[in-house]
Amino acid sequence: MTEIHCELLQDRIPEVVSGRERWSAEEAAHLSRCADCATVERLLVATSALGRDVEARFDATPAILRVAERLRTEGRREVSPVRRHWIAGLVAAAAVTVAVLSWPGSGAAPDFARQEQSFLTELDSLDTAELAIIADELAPPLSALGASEGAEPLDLDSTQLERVMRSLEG
Amino acid sequence: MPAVPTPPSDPVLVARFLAGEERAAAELMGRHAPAVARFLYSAGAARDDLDDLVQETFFRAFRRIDSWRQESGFRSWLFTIASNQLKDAVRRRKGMRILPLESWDAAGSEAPDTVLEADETAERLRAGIAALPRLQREVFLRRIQFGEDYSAIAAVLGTTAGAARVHYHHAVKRLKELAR
Repeated sequence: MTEIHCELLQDRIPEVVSGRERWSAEEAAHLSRCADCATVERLLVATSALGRDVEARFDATPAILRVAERLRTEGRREVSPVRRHWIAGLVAAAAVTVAVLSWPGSGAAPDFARQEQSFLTELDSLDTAELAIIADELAPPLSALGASEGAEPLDLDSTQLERVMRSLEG
Repeated sequence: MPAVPTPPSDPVLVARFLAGEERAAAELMGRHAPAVARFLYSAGAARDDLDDLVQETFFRAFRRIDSWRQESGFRSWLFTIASNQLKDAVRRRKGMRILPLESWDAAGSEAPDTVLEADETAERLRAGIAALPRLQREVFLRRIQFGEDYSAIAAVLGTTAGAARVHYHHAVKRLKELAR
């Protein structure tokens, strides 16, 4: 009789729950006597069923009509002057942060790292057009701070910058 | 017997939309809006907010559709935008997630056979998922509800397959502890 490892079996639960794979007789027997594996299976079965009714009943027609109307009337997004001022503040904070973090031997103190995280969270809420503004405007303040050696992040495009923000969010 | 016409693929519809064909946008929405609604609901959005969140997700998607690199599926890309919409909505309206984690804790007093089966318990599961850190929540839902593999999830979330797997296991561990 093959020994069943809980970790390996639990890794396969999503495949079985989705119907792509099936349990062997030994695995089924293991599930019937292993409380931990059975709990994970119940959890994943419940998750796979969650919201099925929402999906089945969702009427997309009103949203389709509204989106079509908005695309006709609003088109591509223009960033408002007020929003630009707010972004400018973020740019300044980002410039200072990158400069300090890239300063040789700065050691990036924990308190500073927390402040950095707070505005990174704000950056994460920006859309592509707004991130592009930051990418465009970040270079001059950084060069003024003499932080050229640590300025590689400025070479990122907006998509890459978004990914960095997500990865920092953890 | 006449051949059944194959529906146009997502990339084809996106190309038609970019060429100015409005109907392609409607077809993409008809195809994916219900799944986006389910993703948002499972992530903690209130039913009453789904219409607005889905609308905003697609509106934003169509305005920046040239940023879809096709490395990930169109639906998977939509989920990322939807997740951002939900996060912004929660920030704007604190308490939008109507399902506090504490309500899940009460499930521990139920008989094990009934856990995760009743509607009430499904709401607790939703609360537990909503309380997960964002990346854990996204990886978990994409993996279980939409069958995405770790490589596909990693591509759209800008991480590695190994990291996506770790996020998934953290999510399972946390939800499992709550479900015992």
